[in-house]
Amino acid sequence: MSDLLWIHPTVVVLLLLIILMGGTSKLFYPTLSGGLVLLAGWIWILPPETMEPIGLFGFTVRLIEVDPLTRYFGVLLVGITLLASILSWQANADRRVQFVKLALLGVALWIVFVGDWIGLTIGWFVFGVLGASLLWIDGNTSWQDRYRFSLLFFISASLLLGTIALHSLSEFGADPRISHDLGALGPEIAVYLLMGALAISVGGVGVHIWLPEAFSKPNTDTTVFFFATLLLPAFYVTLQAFPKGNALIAYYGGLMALYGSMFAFFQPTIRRNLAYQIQAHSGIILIALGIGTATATVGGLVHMLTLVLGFGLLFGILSQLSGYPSEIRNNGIHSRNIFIGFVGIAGLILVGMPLSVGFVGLSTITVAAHDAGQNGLVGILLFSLSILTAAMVRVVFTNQQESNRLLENTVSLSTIALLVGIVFLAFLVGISRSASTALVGEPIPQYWRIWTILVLVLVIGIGVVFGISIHVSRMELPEIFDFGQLVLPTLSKRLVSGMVIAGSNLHSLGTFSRQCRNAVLYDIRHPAERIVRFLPSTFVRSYQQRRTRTPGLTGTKLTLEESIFIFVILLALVLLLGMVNTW
Amino acid sequence: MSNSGSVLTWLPLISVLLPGVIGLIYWNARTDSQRYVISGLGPWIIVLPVVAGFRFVQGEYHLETVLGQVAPGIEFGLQFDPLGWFFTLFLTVLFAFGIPYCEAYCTRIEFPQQARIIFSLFLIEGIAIGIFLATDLFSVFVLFQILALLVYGIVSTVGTADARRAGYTLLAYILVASLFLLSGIRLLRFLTGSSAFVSNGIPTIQSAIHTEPVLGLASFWLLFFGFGIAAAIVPVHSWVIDLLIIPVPIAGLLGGVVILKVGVFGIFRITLDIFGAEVIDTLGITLPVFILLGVSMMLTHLLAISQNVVEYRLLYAIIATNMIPVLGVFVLTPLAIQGSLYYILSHAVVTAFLFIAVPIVSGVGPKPSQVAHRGHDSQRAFVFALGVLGLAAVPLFGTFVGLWYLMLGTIATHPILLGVLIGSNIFVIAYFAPVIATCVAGTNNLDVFRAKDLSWISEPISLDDSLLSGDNRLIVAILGVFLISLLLGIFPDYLQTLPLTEFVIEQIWSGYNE
Repeated sequence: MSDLLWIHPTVVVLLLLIILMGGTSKLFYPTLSGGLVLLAGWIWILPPETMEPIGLFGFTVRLIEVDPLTRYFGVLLVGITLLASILSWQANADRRVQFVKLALLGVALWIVFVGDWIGLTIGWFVFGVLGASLLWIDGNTSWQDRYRFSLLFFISASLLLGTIALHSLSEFGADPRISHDLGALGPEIAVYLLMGALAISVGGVGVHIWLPEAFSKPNTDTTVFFFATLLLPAFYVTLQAFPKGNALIAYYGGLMALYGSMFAFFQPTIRRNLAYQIQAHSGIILIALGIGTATATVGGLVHMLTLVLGFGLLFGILSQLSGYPSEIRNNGIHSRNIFIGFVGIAGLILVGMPLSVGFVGLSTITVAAHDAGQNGLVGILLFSLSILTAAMVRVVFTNQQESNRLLENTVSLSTIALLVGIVFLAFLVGISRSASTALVGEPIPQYWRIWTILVLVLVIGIGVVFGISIHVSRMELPEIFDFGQLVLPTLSKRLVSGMVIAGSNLHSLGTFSRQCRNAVLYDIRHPAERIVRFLPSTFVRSYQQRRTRTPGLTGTKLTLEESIFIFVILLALVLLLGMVNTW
Repeated sequence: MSNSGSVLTWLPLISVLLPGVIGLIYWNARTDSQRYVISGLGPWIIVLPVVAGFRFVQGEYHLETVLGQVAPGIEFGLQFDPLGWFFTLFLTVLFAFGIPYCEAYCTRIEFPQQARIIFSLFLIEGIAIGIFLATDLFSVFVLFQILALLVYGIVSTVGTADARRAGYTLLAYILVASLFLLSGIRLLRFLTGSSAFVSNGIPTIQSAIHTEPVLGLASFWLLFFGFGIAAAIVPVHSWVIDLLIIPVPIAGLLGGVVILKVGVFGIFRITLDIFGAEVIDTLGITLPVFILLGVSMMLTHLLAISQNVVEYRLLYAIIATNMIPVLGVFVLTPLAIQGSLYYILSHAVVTAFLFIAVPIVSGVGPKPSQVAHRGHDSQRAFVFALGVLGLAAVPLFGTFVGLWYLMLGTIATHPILLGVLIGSNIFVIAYFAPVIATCVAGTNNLDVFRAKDLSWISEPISLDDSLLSGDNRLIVAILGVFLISLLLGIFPDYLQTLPLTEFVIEQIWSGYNE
C-alpha cells in the first residue's frame, strides 16, 4: 500500500478549509479555486490501490479505495465545486456558504473514496446533515423546505443503516469488527431498503417532495454545486450495490424520466423547470445503471458528465440574471442574446445532440437498452428526451417578467469565457474518443449506430417543434415575431421564424385539422372543462367544491387540472409501454 | 472477589464518601471565590479515585470494601466491578462538568438557594456512586431511597405550590417503586437466600425458579417495575416531567443523567447479575418486555410531539430513547448488551449536553419572550442541533456506536426490533427539526420557546444577548461534554471505552457459556 493514500481527498479538503479559515479575505476565492484545482489534480494522480482496514468509530473501516470509477466521481465532484466557487467568486457570495460547501464536498468525496459499507453509511448520515445545513445557511428556502430535506435524508440514511445491518447478518454473522467491503448487498429485503434509501436521495417519484424547492430556491451558485453533490454519491452507491443492474431500478428510472420531464414542461418558472429536468436526467442515468450491462454503465457514467456540464452551463448563465442583485456591467454583452445562445446549446447537449458529450451518453444508453432487449425503456427514454427538449424550449421563451430582467443585464466577458470553456469541453469529449476514454477511465464502446443518430435528431426535432408550437398557441403572434427580430441573429432568426410560422400555420391544412387543433389546444389551455365534461354528474359537485377549496394550486404548484392531465398521460404511457414490452 | 489487604481496598468507599466531604467543604466556604474554586476543582478530585480503580477493574481481583451487615444476612459492601465502575466513571466526569455549570447558572439567574443546591448535588453524586458500586440489591434499594429524598430536598427549595406538588408526586412514585423493589427483594431472598450481585446471576436461582416458577416471575416483575419507575417508562413517568420546576440544567442532570440512568442500571443489574441471561431466557419474559417497552416508546414519542415547550419535548424524547438500552439488554445476546451499555453511557453524555445547552435555546429568564429571540439564533440552533443529532444516534456520536452494536446483536434473533430502533430515531429528528428550523428563522411557529412559569424568581432579570457571554464555566461545560460525546463516537477504541464494554460482556458471558 502506498503511503500517499494517507493523504485522503477528504483530508485535503479539510486542510483547504483550515487554510481558508485562517487566510485573508482578499485571497479567499483565489485560494479556494486554486485549492480545488490542486485537489482535482491530486485525485487524478492517486495510485489505484486499496488501503488496509483500520479501527475507527468502533468498527473496521477501509478508509480509501482508489480505482478508475472512484477517480472519475472524485474529479466530477471537484470540477462542479470549482465551477460553483468561480460563480460565487463573481457574485462575491457569502463566505460562510463556501465553508459548508467545502465540508459537503469533503463528505461526498469520503462517500466515494471510502472502501467499505460502514464507512459509507457514516458518511451518508453526515452528508444529510451537511446538506440540510447548506440549505439553511444559503437562506433562500423556507424552514418547511429544510425540514422536509432533513427528515427525508435522515430516513434515507437510516434505511441504508438497516440495509447494512441485514447485509452484515447474512454475510458475516453480524460481526462488527469485520470490514464490510463494497459490492452487491445481501438479502432481498436489504435490497429493497437500499432502493428506498437511494430513491429518496435521487429525488425519485413519490419521495421527491424535497426536490423542487431544494433545487430551485437556493442561489444559483449553491444549486449548481448542490444538485451534483447530492446526486453523484447516490449514483455511486447504486453502481456499487447493483453492479449487475436491476430491472426495478431501470423502470423506476424510466418513471422518473417521464414524470420529471412532464412536470418540467409545465412549470411556471425557469428554476422549477430546471429542477424537474434534473429529476428526469437522474431517471435516465438510473435507466442506464439499472440495465447494468457494461455498455449501459459507461453510458450512465458519460451522462453524469453531461449532466454536470449541461447544468453547469445553465446555472452559469442563470447566475447572471438571478440569485443576486443584478449589477449593470459596462464591458459586457447584451445578456438576452447570450442567454438564449447558451441555454440553447446547453439544452441541445443535455438531450443528446450529435457531436456533443450528451450524444455519447444517450446514444450509448439507447444502444445498450436496445441490445438488452428493453425496447420499452428505449421508448420511455426517447419520449422523455423529446419532452425535455420541449421543456428547454420553454426555458428559452421565458416568461415576460424574467425577460425584462434579461434585458436589463449584461454578461461579463469572463463569464462568457468560462461558459465557452464548458461548451468546448462538452464538444471535445463528444468528438474525441480518446478524451472521453481518458476522462471516464473505461474504454467507451461502439456507442453510436446510424439509427441512433437519426432517432435522436428526430426526437430533438419533434421536441423543438412541439415546444414552439405549444408556446405559439399560448401567445399572441406579433409578439413572437418581435421577439425573433429583437433577439436572434439573422440566420437563425429565419430558421426559427420559419418553424414558428410552420407551427402556427397548421390551420392551413384545412378546416378539419384546424378544428382538431383548436379542440386540442383548447383542452390544453382549459383542461378543467374537458375533465368536467367527462365526469359523471354525481362527481361534478364535489369536484367543484375541491376546486374552490384549493384555488388553482395543488401541492406541486401546478393547477389541479394540469396535474390530472399529467397523470392521465403518464398512465396511458405506462400502459402503452407495458404492451410494447409484452409484444 | 477477595483481594489483598492493602489500603486500596478502601478506594470504592473513598469514591462514595469523597463527594460528601467536598460538598461539606463547599457548604462551609465563606466567600464566593472559595466556592468558585471548590465547585470547579472538587468534582475533578472526585474523578481521581475512580480513575485510579481502572487497572483493578481489568485486573485479577476486584477492589471491594466490606462494611459489615446492615440487616440479618445482608452485607453492605462496595466494589469496583466493571459494570458499576463504568457507570461511576461517566457519572463523575459528567458531574465534573455539570457542578461548575450549575453553580454558574444559579449565580447567573440569581437563584436564592444556590449553596444548598450545589451541596445537594455533591451528596447526590456520592449516593449515585454508591448505587453503582454496591454489591447487594438491598443496598441499592436503601441508597435509592436516600437519593429520592435528596432530590425531594432540591425540589422543595423552590418553595412554590407547583414545586410542592412536584415533590409529592416524586415521593409518591418513589414510594411505590420502593414497595415493588422491597417485595421483589423479599421474594428473591425467599427463593435463593441471597440478593448479592453475582456475575451472570445468583447460582441458586436456576433451581429455585425451577421449583417455584410463579414466585420467580413475580419477583422479576416486581423488581422490573421498581426500576422501571426510576427509568420513567411511560405511563409511570410524570415525576420526571414535574422535576422541570427546578432550574432546567439541574433538573436535566438529576432526572436525565442520574435517576433515569439509575433505573436502567438497576434493570441491567437484575437482568445480568441477579437472574442471569439464561434464567431470563427460560422465564419467557422477553416478549412481554419487548411489547411493553415498544408500545411505551412509541407512546412517549407521541407525547413528545404533543408538547409545545422545548424542555418538555426534550425530556420526553430522552425518556423514549432511554428505553432503547432496556430493550437491548433483554435481547440477551452479547453484542446487544454491549451495544446497550455503550448506548446508555453515551446517552447520558448527550442528555447532559442537551440540558446544559437548552437554556441557550429557550432563554433562561422568567420572561423568555424577551430573551429567546434576541440575536444569536443560528448559534443557538447550531448548539441545539448538535445535541439532537446525538440523541438521534447520528454517526460521529457515541450513541451511534452503541446503536450499531445493539442492532447487530438484535438482528439475528429479533429483526422486528430493528424497525423500532430506526423508527425511534426518525421520530426524534421528525419532531426536533422544526424546533431547530424555527430557531434559525427566528420565528415562533410552534410556540416551542414558551418556557414554563418560573415564579420563584421575584424580579425580572435583565440578560445579555447570549448566555455564553456571562461565565466561562458555562462554555467550558458545553464544549467539554460535547467533545466527550464526539470522542466516544469517533475514537471508541483509542479511548478504551469500547474495549471496556467488551470486557464487561466477556465477563458476564464466559459465566453464561460455562
